[in-house]
Amino acid sequence: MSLKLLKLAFKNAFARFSLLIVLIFVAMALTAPWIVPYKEQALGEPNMAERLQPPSLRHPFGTDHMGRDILSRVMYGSRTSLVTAVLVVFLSALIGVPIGLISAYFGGFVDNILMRFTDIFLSFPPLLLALLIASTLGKGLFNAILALVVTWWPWYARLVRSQALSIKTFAYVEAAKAAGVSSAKIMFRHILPGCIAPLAVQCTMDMGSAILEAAALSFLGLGVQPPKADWGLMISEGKAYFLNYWWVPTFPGLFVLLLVVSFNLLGDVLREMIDPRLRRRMLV
Amino acid sequence: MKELVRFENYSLSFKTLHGKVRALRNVSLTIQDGEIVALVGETGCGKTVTGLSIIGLLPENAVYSGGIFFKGMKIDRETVRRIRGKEVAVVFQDPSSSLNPLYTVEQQLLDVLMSRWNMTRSEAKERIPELLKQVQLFDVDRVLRAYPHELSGGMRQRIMIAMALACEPSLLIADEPTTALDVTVQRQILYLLWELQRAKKFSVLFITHDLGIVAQLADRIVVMYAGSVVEIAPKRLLFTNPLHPYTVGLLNCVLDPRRKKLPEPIPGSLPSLTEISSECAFRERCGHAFDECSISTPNLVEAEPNHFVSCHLWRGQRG
Amino acid sequence: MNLARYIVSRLVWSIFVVLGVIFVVFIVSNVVPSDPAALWVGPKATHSAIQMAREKLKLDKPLLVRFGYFLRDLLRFDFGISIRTHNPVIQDIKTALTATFELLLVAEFLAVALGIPFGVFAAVKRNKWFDNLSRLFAVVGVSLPSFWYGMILQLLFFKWLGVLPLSDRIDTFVSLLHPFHERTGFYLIDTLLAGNYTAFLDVIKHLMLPAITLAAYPIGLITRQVRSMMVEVMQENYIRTAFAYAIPERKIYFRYALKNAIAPAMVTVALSFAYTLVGAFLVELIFNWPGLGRYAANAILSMDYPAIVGVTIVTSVCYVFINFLVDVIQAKIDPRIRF
Repeated sequence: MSLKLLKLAFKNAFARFSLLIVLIFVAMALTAPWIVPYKEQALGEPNMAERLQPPSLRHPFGTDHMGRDILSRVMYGSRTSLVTAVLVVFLSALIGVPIGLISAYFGGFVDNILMRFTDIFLSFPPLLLALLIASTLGKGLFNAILALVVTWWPWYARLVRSQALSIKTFAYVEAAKAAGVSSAKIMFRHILPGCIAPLAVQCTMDMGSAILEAAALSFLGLGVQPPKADWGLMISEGKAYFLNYWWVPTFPGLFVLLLVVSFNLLGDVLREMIDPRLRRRMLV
Repeated sequence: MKELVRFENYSLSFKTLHGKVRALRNVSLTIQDGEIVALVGETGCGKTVTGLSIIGLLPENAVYSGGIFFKGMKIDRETVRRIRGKEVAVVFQDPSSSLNPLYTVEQQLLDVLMSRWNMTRSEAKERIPELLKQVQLFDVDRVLRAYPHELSGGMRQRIMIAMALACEPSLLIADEPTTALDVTVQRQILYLLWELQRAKKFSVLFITHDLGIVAQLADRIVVMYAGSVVEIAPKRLLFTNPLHPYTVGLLNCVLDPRRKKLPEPIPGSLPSLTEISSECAFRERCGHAFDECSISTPNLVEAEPNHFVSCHLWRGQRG
Repeated sequence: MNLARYIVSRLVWSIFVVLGVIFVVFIVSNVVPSDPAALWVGPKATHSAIQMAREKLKLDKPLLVRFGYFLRDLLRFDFGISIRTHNPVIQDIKTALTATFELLLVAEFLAVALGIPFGVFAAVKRNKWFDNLSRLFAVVGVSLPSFWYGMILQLLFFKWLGVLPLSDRIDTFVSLLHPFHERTGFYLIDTLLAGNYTAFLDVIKHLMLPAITLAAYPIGLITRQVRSMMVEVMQENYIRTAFAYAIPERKIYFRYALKNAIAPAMVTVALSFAYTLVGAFLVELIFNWPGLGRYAANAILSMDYPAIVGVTIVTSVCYVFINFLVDVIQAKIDPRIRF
């Protein structure tokens, strides 16, 4: 991918903004334990004396129903959100990509079975199956991640399969086959690289979706459990108070929105970069 | 004969990621009432863009200078509305992608008729059978009910011609109308166009890369190379006395059983349209190039009556 | 080739999918847990209740046999008893269904009615301010956590501006003073049928915030999808032909281009419906809307397992059916698909 294209892509204000936000969030998540103003409160320790206080200099985002500083908790929440999103996307891709490759490469019966299988999974409304699985397995972040991965991998399998199917027809794949290269090598060395671009776009956008779904799960009590800090959980806890104490759920939700928007914008930019038809129309 | 279309020093460029693409440079030509002008050249020489410029069907990044006149009226964004789909109609190259796959043939013909003549739907419906007959489509009901992908290539092109006829234009721009068709069908379509022109006497701008087609149909021929006009002549003159080295080369490329020689390709390849240079665009491939050719691009001069050429070899002549 | 045959083949496929979906739910709910019986009767169950559940689940029998019983129960609409409400789950679902559908339909209608024109105009005025603004709104729309967005709207319109109600489908006073007969379960229709305009207005006021909240995601999806499809379609040769023949621009955009763009966009509409189905869970909770979503959300919050399973199955089957409808509509619009 030419450097010129990259530069042009990021000329767009949206692109620069979103990349900046994502980097800030990542930095925040990584450094939170050290830069957070009220660490123990972030980890859950109550401070009832200062309960439900509006935003002030001491507590820029106010305090929640247990008197804990919301800013600190929101910063800590970014850790859970990012880690969850990365794990969900990564693990789903880890499972889905090989399956998609195998399905496309071997075709025929194998392809048929695998695709029927993924079709069933894809026929569930998003999140619903995850809710069922998480409820079955029990509360907790681990189970939530597991539930999401189980419902997500079929998307990647599908995506990779369709890409691989078109790459499979290229001459260099035929040549490799004729030269006797092993199937595994063909799949991973020759076909997979061609799939990376759309996969990268999808993963970026999926980071956003993963954060949203994880937040929904914790909102319903299935993900992160109290007293840990998590955006979805904080919104849920704030629900009882928000009419009179608006700041309690507002800031966590704002952060969710900001991060997800940034990932989506980033994904959009990436998509426009790799789509040759759109690229042709990127005029001076 | 009255002059229908005139290009006066018309230049066209496209602003792109890779720089400015100079698609047309100082094109000057005319199309008279009732004549068939063939616009000939290889792919990328600018012939299609020339045709589309008349009706202003250019992308957003197009920049032009110079003028195009239709019946003496200068063409710009306002005036082009008066001729598009009314006085000028286009038959495009690929009928399968030029017709909307989701609407029936009838619907698309109706839309053209209704917008051209301001008719009601029922009025337009009455005109259609006659139109189809003119393009030799007799199975009227079946054709009308069909979607484009259900018809053969030849039939689709006839539909496009019918659409053009529906406007009763003074000028028909045919952009490589037979290129996408089978050889046998090509002849039929060409013959159809020939007959229609004879009957209705509209002008035709026939854009093609095929000299063979040109030899049969054209009254006058305009040869283009790399965005410029290199030669204009009546058909007979062009074939018997080609003046521009490129034209000569083109004629040598055609297999002619009467000559005892094999066709000879023109050496070299097209120059890039993004690099601006002041030399003659054909210089590198020309066997007759001399000093002047690397210094300036030649102008179009009238080397003999009605025969124009843009080449330094004929610079000194009347012009 | 034939529309009818296509419909039949799609129907058969959908049935197959429904079976698969039910099987997956069965596996998750009956096979995966270490003690499915305990799950089904809930944490407060007595020992004997668990024993009874074990017998009912026939845990000793082989897998396929158990699936057979599971299927049989489903077909008899026996989804078990809700741990929370102590009603048969199917009964709970029935009462809640119309409320949710009304909300869904209004939200989806909003989304389509706004999303499509926005998408078309954004494509036509590409890269101008309208386009950039629409794209921003669209991205925000699909990035909003619906449960949070609903709360913000409530803060804005109920707490601070005081123009719209907080929750429920209808104000208690209004329903007492201006009662109407619930015939269809769709309050919009029922109030109109009864000629009860006060109640009708009140119902609309109550629908607004939840519908807007729910519509945010689909509007975003639809706007984006329509815009990108339109941009692609506008490059096609047949659009060039339409311009060449001076077909009026509005016609070109809204009839020619849109029809070609809409077919793939229909898939997005279906997908958006799916998100809306699940989004309703969260939104109904916030707005105390007496629908399937609130029922499901409460079920999850209280670990009411039979209810969770029941809702999953019903919702998934609805989703499969919606996809089926979309496939059929797509085939009707685009004759090439039927091959």
